[in-house]
Formats: sequence, structure tokens, C-alpha cells
Amino acid sequence: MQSVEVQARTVDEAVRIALQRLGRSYEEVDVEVLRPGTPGVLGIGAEDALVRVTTRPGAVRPTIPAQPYYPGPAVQNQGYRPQGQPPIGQPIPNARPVQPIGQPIPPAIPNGTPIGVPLGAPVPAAIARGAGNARAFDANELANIGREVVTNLLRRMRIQARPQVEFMPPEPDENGEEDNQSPLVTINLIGGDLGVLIGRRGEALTDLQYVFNLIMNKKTRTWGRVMIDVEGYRTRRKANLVNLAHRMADQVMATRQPITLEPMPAHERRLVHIALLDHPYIRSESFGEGDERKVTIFPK
Amino acid sequence: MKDLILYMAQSLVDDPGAVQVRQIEGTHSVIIKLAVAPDDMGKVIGKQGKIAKAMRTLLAVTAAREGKRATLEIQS
Repeated sequence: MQSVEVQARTVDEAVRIALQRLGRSYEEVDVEVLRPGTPGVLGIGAEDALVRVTTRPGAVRPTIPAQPYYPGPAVQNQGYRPQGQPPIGQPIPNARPVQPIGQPIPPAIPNGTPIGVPLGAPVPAAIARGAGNARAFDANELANIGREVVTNLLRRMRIQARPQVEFMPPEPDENGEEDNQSPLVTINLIGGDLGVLIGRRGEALTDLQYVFNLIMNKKTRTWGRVMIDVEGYRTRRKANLVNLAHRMADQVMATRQPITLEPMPAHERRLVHIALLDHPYIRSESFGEGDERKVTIFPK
Repeated sequence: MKDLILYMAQSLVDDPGAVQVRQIEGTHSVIIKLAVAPDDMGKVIGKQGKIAKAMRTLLAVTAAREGKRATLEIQS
């Protein structure tokens, strides 16, 4: 059992930082509010909130190793095996074949090679002009343009961060096919004090990604192929969501009652659906509109 | 803050030359006034104000670092 105490401007913020520090999701911890904190008036008389976050004894699980996305056989640990069901290695009745992931990545560059043009380098005129050009951009070009755009945004936000480019293996979509919509490149922003770029429930990061996508779309006519991350937040969130999905699936199987998760943005719902895709006894579906759209997990 | 809005607006519209940004500075607050070509209004507002909302979030993050509150006004 681990426990941390965190002080921050608000209770939400403190809990978020604590979860980040423990690498746990909200469902796996107990939160004690030691001091609720007050916002004060225009920052006068403000008092920070203080919380103690403790992992639940039952929630002990193997830590998910921070997996470098490239190129590893990864995904193996997403293959779901319900307890008491056929041991690993034996075919599960009705299971879909798992799409091999972590296959050689198409164009790109040998791993570890420094990437492309230096930041200050001029962007080819055709790209700078943006619009109109229908030609396809490869992962390397997208990485360079993306880094340029995100650097321009951050400089004007007075935020110092180092963009670190990672190339992603192709992911399966909801039908298990290779997905030509999923991100090819992640730009992970590294630096001190970048919590503001994530925001409450990742809202600031979502909006940064949205503006970034719009600008990228204008320049390259692509959408969503470059993902922005902050200090690996999305990677951690992904591991937590996959874990949550599997635990909720266990619970649904045990009780035969559907469970509805809290509202999540599209890419997070997608992660839950994909995590449960190969599950022989469970299906998942999303309901609701807009910000209220939620995943429900059913017994099959 | 002005330069952030200017950069975002000019990157999103079809007529970057028509983008105008003014910044009105107070002690605790900042008002940013953005004007774009009439045909480009949708490009900075978005469906149900989605783009404007995202720009406001990034503006708020930036302003908070200077201890200020910022308002983005889009002028028609």
C-alpha cells in the first residue's frame, strides 16, 4: 500500500497530481481531503488544498512497464484472459485472431537516429503555404511540421518544453484492421511544471491537441496523425484505462450486470473498446452525446 | 497573449492578412479583440464555438502564468 500527500491549488488538482505520482487511476485509490483549500478573492486569502491519496490494498497489480512504443511486441499484455478460462497459449473459443501489432514500421527512420531538420530550418515553401496540396505526407514530414507548429504555439504561450518525437506502430481499429486514422507520430513535451498543459481531466491538452490538429490540417490535409503528449500523460492514462476496462469486464462477468463508465473523450473510449475487443464474453458500446458520451460494458 | 491569438488565427483562416488583434491590458485582466475576414469567421469560431473555446483555453493557460484573467472577444 502506497500513500502520498499532495498540496495544490484545488482538491481536483491535488488528486490529479497524486494519481500521476502513484501511476494509479482514480478507481484504485482512497482519497482523504485533509484540507479543502479556498480559492480566496483574486488570489488574496487563498489556501492550498491538501489531500492524502492511498492505494487500495486490493488494487495491487503488476506495474505496467513503461513501454517504449517502438517497436516491441507490446500488446501481448492486452490480450485478455479471464480467470479460470483457458490458459494462455490455448485458443479461446470464438476469439478473434489478434492483429499483430508492433510490425515493422513503414517508412520512417532507424530508431534512435536524430530526426529530420533542425527546428529553425525553413519549412519547404509548399508546406509553409499550406492548403491546396493533396500530396501525402510521410511520418517523418509530419513529425517535422508538427514539431514546428507545437514549438510556435508553446513559444507564444511562454512555455518552455522540449518536443520529443516518437514514431508509433500502426494500431488496429475497432474491427481489428490496421487503422489508417491512428496517430503515426507522438510529440511528447518534456519540461518542468507542464501540469498547466494537461489541465483538469486533461482539458487543456485536449484543446491544445484540437488547435494543433486544425493547424496541421490546414498545412497537410491530414487529421489526427500527430499526437501531442505532455510528460507521457497519455501513455500513463492509456495504461490505466486498459487496466480499468479489464477490471470492469471482470466485474460485469461476475455480476452479469452491465457497467457504464464515466464520460470520456473519443480517443479514450476507443482505447476501452479496443482493450475489450478480443474478450470472448464481453462487449462494449458507447452511448450519449458530446461531452456526456460514455462507454457501457455488457456481458455478451 | 496577443501573439498567441494572432498566430492561431492566422494559421486557421484563409485570409491571414485580414486578421487583426488588439490587446487591452488591465492590472488583473486582459481583453483580446480578434477580427477576421467575414468569410473566415467560422474558421475561428467553429461548430458550436468549439474552436473559440479551445483558443480560450490556451489563452487562459497563458494568462494564468502572468497571474491574469484573459477574455477573447471575436468581433463581427
